Amino acid sequence: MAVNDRGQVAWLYRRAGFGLGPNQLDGLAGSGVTAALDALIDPDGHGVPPAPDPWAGQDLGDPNDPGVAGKVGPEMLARWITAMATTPRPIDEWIRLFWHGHFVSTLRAVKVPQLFATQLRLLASDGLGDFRSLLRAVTVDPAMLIYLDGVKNKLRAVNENYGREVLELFAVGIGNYSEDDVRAGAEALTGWTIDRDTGEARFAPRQHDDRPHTYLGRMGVHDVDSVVDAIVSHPACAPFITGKLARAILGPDVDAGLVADRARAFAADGMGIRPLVRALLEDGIERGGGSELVRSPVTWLASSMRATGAPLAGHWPQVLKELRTAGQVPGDAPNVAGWPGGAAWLSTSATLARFNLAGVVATATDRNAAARRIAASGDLRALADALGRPEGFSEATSTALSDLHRQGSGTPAGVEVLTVALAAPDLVMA
Amino acid sequence: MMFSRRKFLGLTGVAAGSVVAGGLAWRSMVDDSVNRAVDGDATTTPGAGGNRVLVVVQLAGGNDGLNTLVPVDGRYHDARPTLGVPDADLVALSGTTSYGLAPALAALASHWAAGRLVAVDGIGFPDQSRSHFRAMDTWWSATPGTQSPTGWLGRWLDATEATPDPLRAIALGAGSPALVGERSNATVVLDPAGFALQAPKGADADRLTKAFLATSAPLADDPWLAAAQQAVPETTDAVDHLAGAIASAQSAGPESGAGATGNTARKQAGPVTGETFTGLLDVASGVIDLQLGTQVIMVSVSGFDTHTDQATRQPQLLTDLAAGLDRFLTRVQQQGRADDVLVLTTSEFGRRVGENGSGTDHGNGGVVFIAGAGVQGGRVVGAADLDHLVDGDLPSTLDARSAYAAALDWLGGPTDEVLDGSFDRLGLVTA
Repeated sequence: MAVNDRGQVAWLYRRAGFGLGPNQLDGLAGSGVTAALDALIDPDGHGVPPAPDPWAGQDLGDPNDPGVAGKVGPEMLARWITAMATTPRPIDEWIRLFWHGHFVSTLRAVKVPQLFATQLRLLASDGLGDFRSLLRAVTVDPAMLIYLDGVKNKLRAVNENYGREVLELFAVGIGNYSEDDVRAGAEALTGWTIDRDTGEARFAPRQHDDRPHTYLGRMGVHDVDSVVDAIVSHPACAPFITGKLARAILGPDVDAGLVADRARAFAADGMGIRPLVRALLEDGIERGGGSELVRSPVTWLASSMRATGAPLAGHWPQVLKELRTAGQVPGDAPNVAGWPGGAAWLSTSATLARFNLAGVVATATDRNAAARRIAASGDLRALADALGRPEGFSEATSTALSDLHRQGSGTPAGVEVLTVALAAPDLVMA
Repeated sequence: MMFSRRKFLGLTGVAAGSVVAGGLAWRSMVDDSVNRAVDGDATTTPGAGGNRVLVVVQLAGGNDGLNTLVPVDGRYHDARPTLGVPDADLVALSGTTSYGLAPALAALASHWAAGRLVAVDGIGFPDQSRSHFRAMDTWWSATPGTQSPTGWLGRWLDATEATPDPLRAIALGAGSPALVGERSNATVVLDPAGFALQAPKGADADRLTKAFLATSAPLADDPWLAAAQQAVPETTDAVDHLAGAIASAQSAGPESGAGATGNTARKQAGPVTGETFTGLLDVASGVIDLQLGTQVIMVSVSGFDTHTDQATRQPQLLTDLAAGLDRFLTRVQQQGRADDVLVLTTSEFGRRVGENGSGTDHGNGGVVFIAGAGVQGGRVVGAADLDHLVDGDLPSTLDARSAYAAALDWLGGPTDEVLDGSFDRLGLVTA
């Protein structure tokens, strides 16, 4: 029973978090799987105080400096990934990263770090609330207004960029709307801009087309609220969002019937995201884990940092370079669809980057930290457990690590074994 | 070519400080159990195509064909009051007065004049979509109307190789579903500058690589875990073979000219550097020079989704494209490989004819270029049909599979089998 609980708790924290830190698993598994799920999904209800904002105290630079993103961006990313690895509320960072890969913006395009940070804050603060509020907030979020050209979408110069992607990628999916809907939505969203003094979104009625539009089968749609209402009421919206979350938690082969059931409950329940995440995690536990899921490079890195306690101070330039090789730099998704995931994370580039990053993490791990000491001791069962795999390593990885350990003299002690363990295919899977 | 593949491996296997280059040496250990027969001696794959290399250059985001190959036509200027390129600024093209090249593409004019460059205009797929992602899927799979797990080039790789060799197809800048076959798998190099294995300080690099490689066998029953395992030897192989080419390409060539300028400007744009056509095509020519048996190279650069600020952004990208292609074609000629190389540019759609303020929204028919010694060049095939706009877009009057068929014929086929049909080759390329 206890072993099973350990496996299930570790699974929960891999699928909707960034794994567990040293010795955390014993405590969580001791109080049972349900209690561990409660603690993960509802930190407020478990007395976990709000975590500090990752960018608190960071000078986000002069927004008028054209090079400010390049100057400020690397530290923003370092703080963000460190927060994933260290926050006592992993669900908040997990959902932030999930929505960041969904409601994509890039710092490269937004250019103003303050606005980019504002969007990232929104994705965490509202990310587990109700989807309608989140979609409304994202639609007029200043960074999004820049990234998908809302600021250029005006009465006499209609720009379809957001109007198209909100339907195709953010809310209902291709095949569920017409080109006329794209146009009508774009027109109804004209007039939003950014206030030059405050950096906040501002509605400019003179640039707005307030005529009633027929949109997604509704009449009279004319502004951001009626657009968002029409979208979330569309029968494809709840299944679209549910499917995306289900694949993120349960893996790419998630059962279509399960998604349909959960989508019905999601729609009926006011589109509450937190209850949906919880239900999907419960589904996974019930099915004994759910299908396989490839960890994204960032999730894998943050989990490696959390398991080892390694601080990466001083290594960030190399870490960010390797993440680029891996194909996932937060804030720099390849396009508005976010990161492709799945097999893309098994490419040659991603695989070599993980190997290099594993070396960085192993080197940065304190020699007295549990992961380093266990790696040096060669106790592979304990090492797997410390790295979030209470079920142990695969046969291939076990053999590889024990041979490596037997050849000895890993200087400094444990670094080589820990490097290969972190880079091993087992840990690439969630 | 200075070194054979084998010689090159020998040279690089002991080179370069902390860069691990020992994967191959250990591969025999895992070969059998991994059940993945990559032949280290396969200097050239004696299949279809011989030494020929097809380079597909992807302009990701939907390039505005109208401002690339510009029609000399009043209706164009009416539709593009601010973005229209004045006739007087166009680069004249021998053989036509109906079109001129965008000024940013001036570096391609000499290739046009020499008959090594052909433009195919008004091209797309029958169900051409305005969605980036549906359109890209179709351009990658070449199966309009149906989803396919394989790409057009992946199917060609499947059809022409006895044993999969990840080095036959290399994707630079972005992975490409076009290269995915049922059996074949491409090597992906997202960032050439980072394509090396680094061992931690104080660690024994060879021992570490060997242990990493050993995690790949025996294969697990779970298919995803097995796929993650198989990626390990593929990666060490790819690094062994490509790291040297990439390093020399990175250091090669004077960083000057328009391409380098565009390069610098774009790299300064954000915290993360962006790849350029010039940089990636330098790597491509380096890879071709190595003769690793590579037959398909895919180069991808994004940024063409110019809903806004098109007047600045598109010329920057096209300047880089033209500079990169010009340098690439010159290099392969210097290598004596001009006859072995064909370049095909693609983009998922053209853009709306009417402008939206400072840019253009998603459209339909676009323009494709094919370059190489075998090209029946110096002409425009097809047309930007301003007489028959569809929903404000140029129609796709030519099927993109015609360009694909021409390229596959040139590689030696099988063409119609891969494309599931016979498409007019349009006389684009002499096979």
